[in-house]
Amino acid sequence: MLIGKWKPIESAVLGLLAQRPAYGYEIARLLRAGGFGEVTGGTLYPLLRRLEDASFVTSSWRDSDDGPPRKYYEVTSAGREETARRKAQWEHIRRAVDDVFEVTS
Amino acid sequence: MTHSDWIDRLVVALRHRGVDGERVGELVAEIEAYLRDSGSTPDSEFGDPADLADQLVGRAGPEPKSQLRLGVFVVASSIAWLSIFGLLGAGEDGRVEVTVGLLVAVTLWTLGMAVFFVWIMRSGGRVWEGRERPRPRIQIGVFWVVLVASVVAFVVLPQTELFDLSNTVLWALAGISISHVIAESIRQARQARLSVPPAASPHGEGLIGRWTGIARLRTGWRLGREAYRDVDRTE
Repeated sequence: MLIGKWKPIESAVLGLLAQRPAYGYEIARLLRAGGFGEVTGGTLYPLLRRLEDASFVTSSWRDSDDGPPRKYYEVTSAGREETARRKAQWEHIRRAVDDVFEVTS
Repeated sequence: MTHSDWIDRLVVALRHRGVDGERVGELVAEIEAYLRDSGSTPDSEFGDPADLADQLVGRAGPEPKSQLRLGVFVVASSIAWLSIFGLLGAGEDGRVEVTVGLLVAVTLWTLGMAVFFVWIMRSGGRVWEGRERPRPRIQIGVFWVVLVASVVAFVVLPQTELFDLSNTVLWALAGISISHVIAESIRQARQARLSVPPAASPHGEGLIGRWTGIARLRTGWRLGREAYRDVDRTE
């Protein structure tokens, strides 16, 4: 089933990184601000590793303006394609759920 | 669990799963950076170090390649020692008679010890991580069974000579196996040495140049003591 495979947090991380590179804690902070609740490091880092293994993101250590160096993640071209694919999947899911609510309301 | 204890356990868990020192150092530096930004503790943010290691590496326990390497290492060590004993015990003509009993005994001992140490490697990690109950009596028992079976095979089986080994062959066997043992030990030591990317060096305090072998021994000793503390009461 499509919705079971959509992986909301993973898709949200891809979407955030498609906008601009970010480091681990910044990603968690943006997810929290976006309404995804508390995403711990224990959830985030395995997810980032899976995205890196799939070549959807790359990482590099960079100097930071406000503190010590951090490891930034940014999306690759394959990652941008995957983000577009997941966005299309989300539109499909959203329409299906909207249709169900229209029928039942 | 203190911060440094948690980091030590993560380092040990990652090394047990065959992650090399360079990658371990980078992962730990990244986690340290995250914890500095979030202000939280490693326990609350990342949970159990062994579970995190499973998710980061994609499996639990040592990879098959590590187990095979250990098995080959033990076989090479056994052959080295047996070759040296053979050289010391060779007859006046400089040859060692290999009988049925001796061949079976040597094979039993060499392969038995290889399997035994690979089992200890897999089981030890799980015991340290609290995922398996320690069974020291069974482990000691298996060691003695292999030893006694080898001795019994040597004594009981026919002393019919199959072939003999010259000093040259024994020297060659000793040389090859000792070379392998030394090369593998150096390789393991190099792979275990933590390093941190230069850009991440602020997060690598206490990590750069650190030998994971020491962390593994220290943490393993502590975890082993905790795990084995109640064995006598429960067995």
